[in-house]
Amino acid sequence: MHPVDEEQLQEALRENARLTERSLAVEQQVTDLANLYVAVNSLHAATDPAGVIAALREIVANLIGSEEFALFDADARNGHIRLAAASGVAAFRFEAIDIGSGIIGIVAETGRPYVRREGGSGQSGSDESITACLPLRIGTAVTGVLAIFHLLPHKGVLEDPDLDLFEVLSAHVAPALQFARGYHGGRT
Amino acid sequence: MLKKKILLADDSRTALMIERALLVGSPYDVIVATDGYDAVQQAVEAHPDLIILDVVMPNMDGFEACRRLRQLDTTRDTPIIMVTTRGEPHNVESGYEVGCNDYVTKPINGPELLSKVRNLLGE
Repeated sequence: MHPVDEEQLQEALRENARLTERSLAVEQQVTDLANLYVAVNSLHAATDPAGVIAALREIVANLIGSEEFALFDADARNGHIRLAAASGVAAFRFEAIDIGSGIIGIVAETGRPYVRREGGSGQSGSDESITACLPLRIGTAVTGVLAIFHLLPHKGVLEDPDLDLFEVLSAHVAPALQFARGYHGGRT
Repeated sequence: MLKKKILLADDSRTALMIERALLVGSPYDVIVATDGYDAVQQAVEAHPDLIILDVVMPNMDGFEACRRLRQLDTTRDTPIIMVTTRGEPHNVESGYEVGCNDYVTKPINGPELLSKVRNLLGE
């Protein structure tokens, strides 16, 4: 038996720690990429508007960590935003929103997302309770807005992968809805 | 080498897809149930090495499924990880009261889930 070389042992332990750290980073990357893939797949698998809303509800709850959202169609011609679906928040709060008014209206007007990393607070459905408000695009046109309100208590704050997920939602919710409305409308 | 078998029980398509994506890259066979009743049936028939059980499911929720699994000889000792969007202490306590071994909250943290899976499978 050779005596254990202390220096070799320490180097092996350091290498083990590096590999463990790398392994964790890879697992996190897999999680983040899987989230993006699942979000896109779920939205585009739906063939009717209710299916898209259900997919969105699952994405917001399971991938982002909120149970409150409202989805709006933007009617640029009339300058209004119309509620298309709400989950976990009272619909009456969004009866009349003008484009350019409040966080939701401003996002519809400017096409720029609003994100509060620490999460929204205050009364559910209010501007203060908005965690993220995302323009929904088809190409370069903003055709709607998605507002996500309070985060679940254990979620804490939004992190960088959540922002990547928001970009996916911005780009894919409106095309998925448009397809689903057309496909469903053509069959009924 | 025989792969270890994991039963995933969740009624959410997105949750199942995420869990599968995390686990299939590891040396596990994955089977799926979409409600609590189905989870109990599949656990009895397929003898999984570990069960990942969502709390909110139709027909039979995860707490009741866990309680029943603990009453059956074939699944009495099978490790169970409960998954929920509700991370409040009383929910976690309810999970442990019905016999789960560990708990994770949604959104799922991949490294955390995999670490708990490996730990419960003795890897």
